[in-house]
Amino acid sequence: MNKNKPVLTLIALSSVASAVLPLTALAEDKVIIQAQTYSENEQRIKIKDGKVIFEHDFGADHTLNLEYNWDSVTGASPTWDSTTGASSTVESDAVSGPSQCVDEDGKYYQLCRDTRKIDGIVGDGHKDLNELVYRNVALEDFRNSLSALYTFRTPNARDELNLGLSYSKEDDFINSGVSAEYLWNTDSTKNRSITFGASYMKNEVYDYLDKKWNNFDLSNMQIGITQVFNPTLVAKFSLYTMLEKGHLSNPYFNVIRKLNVAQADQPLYFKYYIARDSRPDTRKAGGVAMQASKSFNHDNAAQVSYRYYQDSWGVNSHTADIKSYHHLGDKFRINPALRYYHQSAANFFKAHDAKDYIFDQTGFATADHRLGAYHSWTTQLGLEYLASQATTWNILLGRQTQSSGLTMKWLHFGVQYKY
Amino acid sequence: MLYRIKKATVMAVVLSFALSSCTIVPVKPWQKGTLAQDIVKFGGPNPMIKKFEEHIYTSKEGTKGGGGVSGGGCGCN
Amino acid sequence: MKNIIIITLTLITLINPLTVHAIEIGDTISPEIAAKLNLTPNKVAVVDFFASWCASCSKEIPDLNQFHEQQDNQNAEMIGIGVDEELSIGIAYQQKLSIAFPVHNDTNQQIIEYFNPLGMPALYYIKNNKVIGKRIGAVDQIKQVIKQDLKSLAGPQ
Repeated sequence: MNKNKPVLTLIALSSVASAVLPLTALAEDKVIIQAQTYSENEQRIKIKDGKVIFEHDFGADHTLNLEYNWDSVTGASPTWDSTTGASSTVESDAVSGPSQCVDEDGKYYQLCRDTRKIDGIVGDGHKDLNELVYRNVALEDFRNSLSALYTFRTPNARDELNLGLSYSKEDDFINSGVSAEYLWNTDSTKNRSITFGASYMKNEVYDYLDKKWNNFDLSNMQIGITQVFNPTLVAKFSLYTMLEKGHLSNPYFNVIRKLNVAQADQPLYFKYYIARDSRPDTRKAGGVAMQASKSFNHDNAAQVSYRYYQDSWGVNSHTADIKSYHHLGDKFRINPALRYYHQSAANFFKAHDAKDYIFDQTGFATADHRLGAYHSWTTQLGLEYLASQATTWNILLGRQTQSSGLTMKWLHFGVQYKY
Repeated sequence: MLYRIKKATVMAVVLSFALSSCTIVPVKPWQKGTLAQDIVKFGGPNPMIKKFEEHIYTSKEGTKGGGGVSGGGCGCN
Repeated sequence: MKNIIIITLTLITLINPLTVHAIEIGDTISPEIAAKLNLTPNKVAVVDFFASWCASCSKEIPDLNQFHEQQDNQNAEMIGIGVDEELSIGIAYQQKLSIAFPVHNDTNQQIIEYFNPLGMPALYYIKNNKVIGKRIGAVDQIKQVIKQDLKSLAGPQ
């Protein structure tokens, strides 16, 4: 993986992960310009990200929301590599692909079988584990995306139909999606509504080793019920399911596999190989999500949420979040937030720093830390300047610390103009 | 897996009962001024900030979902 | 899927529906409310309930303003009822939208509670203290709709 090679943003930030339906239009004409800088510790990923949103009502029943997003990713992401390959200025084992048996003092040549025929194995293999290292590899990428959301409100009941389209493109990754959502007001005073939503995303990922495009798709269904409890409290309860199908392995992550390279009639002879990340072709997931919003008085409000998730890869997670808003005089508003996240590991995950980090020749395997067990705390503090009834400026600082040692920080700033 | 699904279902039912057992005071359409405030809306005053956050979380974590159906507000309009 | 259905049905069942008694077409409004609305005898009053926080109301108000300023029907009058509880917020909003028609600020929400509409915005046609028509919820092209309503209301009378 050299720096000139376009690198899939699956490692960093990518729309593929945003398996969410678009936010419902809020029925206010507005333009929002928002920018973000994001960085990780240990000289890892840095992102610059910009969004422009235009939202306009056409009469009382139709709203159109258009969004353009641009982001650039630079830095590095860690994966397994060989010291010889990685130290090369040309290419690493992970790029060169498997080679034929190499003579090693005459002995290995006699035993060797052709590892090129073993799916997912790259490089020549190493007798010494010290020749393999978990290290940062450079990356760089740019992404453009466009999305549109159309909302139609039924004339009397004011039910809402939302239809969304999205498209994003990088050199080695293309994502396109459609979504539909229906909000049904179940009572005449609209104190309760049920929302049905579904989305479908098609993804194409370029495999730099096999030099071909792989596909995977994601289907998402959700049902939610929202209840107004009193003039200051509203809560929402949702159930969701997701199905990912296709080539779900990440082409930019590697693992180490231990292989017997001797032929069948020879004594065992083990070597360690860089091998490609390998995941099942199907991932079924689902869970519940709840959130509540409470106003304490005109100037103070808080929102809490909880989500439970589980999937067929053995991963489950708990997410709890609390956020509050406080007016400071007429012109300023602060917004502190605290979020806790905990997840268990996928059943084919081995951490690079675990006691046992080596996989057998066969079976699914990943060292992607995002599929490992960890917890994280996120803190955020936002400040808004309410310049006028129409214009609001905002700045927000965020920081996340993961138990794995990764820390990220980000800064958002932007302006919202309602007209 | 099956055990977890059952556990999640039980938890979901318990939570939904807990929520629905909260006193529901019928709120008239003209009493929704507070719920219509920007700071009370799900997603907050600037929905783009929430989008940025979700983008970070979903791409840096191994799990995602549950935040999509964001309709179902206060019925203020 | 089965779980989803069970939980949803549970929630729906547990939450009791509202019983609402609202002013309907044909009802006569009380003298106190009529006095507050300051209705002109023999004219059709187009009474619109709105609030600063109601986005759909804001969409309709420019149209209502136009109706008020352009209408050549001497037999109708436009009356606004602002239901913001804080007077200063209500007045600031009315100034921002340059509301040209007379507005009664119903800060204690007595009038709207009396009418008890099922949604906001709410628009009533009242003639000689009798409700002769209504439009509840946001209406697209409200100016044209009011003109047509007035025409059809005038027909049989």
